[in-house]
Amino acid sequence: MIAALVATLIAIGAGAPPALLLAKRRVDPRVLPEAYLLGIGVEAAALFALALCGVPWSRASAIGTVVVIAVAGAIFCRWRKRTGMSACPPHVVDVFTVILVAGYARFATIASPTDADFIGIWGMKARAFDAVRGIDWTFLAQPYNAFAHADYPLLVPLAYDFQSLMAGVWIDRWAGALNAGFALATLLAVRAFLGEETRPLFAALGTLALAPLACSPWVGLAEGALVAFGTTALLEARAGELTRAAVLLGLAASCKNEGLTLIVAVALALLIAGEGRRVIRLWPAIAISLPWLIVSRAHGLHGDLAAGDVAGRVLGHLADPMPLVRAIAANPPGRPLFWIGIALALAIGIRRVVWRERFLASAIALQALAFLAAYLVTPHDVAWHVRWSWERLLMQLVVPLGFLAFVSMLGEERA
Amino acid sequence: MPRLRAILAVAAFAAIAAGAFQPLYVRMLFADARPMHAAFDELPYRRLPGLRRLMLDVARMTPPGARIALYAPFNEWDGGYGYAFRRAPFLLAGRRVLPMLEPGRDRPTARYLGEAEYVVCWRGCPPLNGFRRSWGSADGELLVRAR
Repeated sequence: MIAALVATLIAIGAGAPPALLLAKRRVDPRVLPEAYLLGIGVEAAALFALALCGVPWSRASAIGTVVVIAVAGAIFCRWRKRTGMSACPPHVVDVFTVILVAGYARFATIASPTDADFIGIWGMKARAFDAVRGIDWTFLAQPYNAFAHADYPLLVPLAYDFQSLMAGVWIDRWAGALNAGFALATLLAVRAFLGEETRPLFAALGTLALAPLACSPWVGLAEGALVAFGTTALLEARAGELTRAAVLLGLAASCKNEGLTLIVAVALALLIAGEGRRVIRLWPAIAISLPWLIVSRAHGLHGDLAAGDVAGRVLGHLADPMPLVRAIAANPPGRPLFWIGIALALAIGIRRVVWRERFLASAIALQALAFLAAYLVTPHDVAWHVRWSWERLLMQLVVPLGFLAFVSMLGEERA
Repeated sequence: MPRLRAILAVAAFAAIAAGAFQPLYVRMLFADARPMHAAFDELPYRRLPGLRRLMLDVARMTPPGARIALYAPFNEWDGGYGYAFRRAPFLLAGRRVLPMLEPGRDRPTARYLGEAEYVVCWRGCPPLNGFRRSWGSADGELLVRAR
């Protein structure tokens, strides 16, 4: 537990300078969650850089590199004049959110994560790297280890490894501590954004309502990280803070390939929202995600989606879409009451969704379309693929979707 | 009309909150951790009883960097072998786990056996030339390359 806390404190310390420097306001409640998220990115980047330089991981080399990257990041993010304050006074309702997150933290850390994808992908890579104190390219490149999705970005396994280096020993169950950290960061960011839209009571109630959705049940997988980076990035972009959004998008793309499609979704949503000239400001997202794309291809690591005759598979699925339609119909995303509430809220605030929230609504819709597009490309049996991923993928979008529903209704109530 | 809209907004909020609520996270605050800990540890390996214990034993008996072929009495990758093979490297961290069934082709392979220093077999080993029994339990056996 101490190692998890130390890794968390180092993350906040390493992420604080860039988070502060990216903030426009002197007092900004979004700085704390973003410091944590950026810091986790810095920790992973430190281990990635050490591995590329052939330096074996150790506690000293990891912390030293984190310090160097954090200082370089702080210098790179030019000092900007910050004015104004964004007050986010707490409310007694926030206590219930904290209690819920505490329950989730206990759930996430009570034992080694049980999900097969933790054992076979995220945790396995982290353990393999931990054992050799570096990135085991030979392990990743073996054709018989293809099930581990060698092409997936490494932020999450490397974050586990950083924690393990702090502990001096691998402890499975503390992978869940990162899930708890990501959930808390997501909720702090959502609370801060809602606090800018409405009264503290409503902001606290909205955050409490969305809290279980930020607490990913897939402990040990990259979903929790993707929800945290993706949600915060979408909300920052909605607020017009494109540099902050771009950095977080780059980190989302360093968690899972869906993060790459989220960059595209945000760029297209900016175009739809009439902000096309600002798309260029998303360049940090590409700059952050590019090194892994280059290095992984240089090591011959490829994903299964892009393998073989992609065009043929797409045309085949488009010519006969019924298997995909049947698979989606057979695997509803669960939580019917939640979806009814979302539909009702969006219907109530439809004018605001179409006009003022066009960016966020478009980004969410485009990302959902990207999920469907993956099923057109899949080399696997589409029913199998949908069954094991559809609900999990949709859960990446439910927090920003819930946020959209709330602010749409608030807008209508104000009108 | 504004009153109706307000009522609908409250209903939408209530539906979102109730639909999203996860009672497990509240129950966890009062749950007894010990039985859950044991059950959760075994959960990912439950379809092949003893697999986790076997792999942990093998991890104790083999050096880091060892190349270990994995045998499990299944002829289909998705029908059991893959289940064991996808889990073994996690428990045998630092060792290279080699398959004895071709991924996706469902046929036995000796392609990687030549580089294996050990063979671990869930439940029991078939006769394998060039290896001798080094250790065994009810969960399986460990063979080592004969010199």
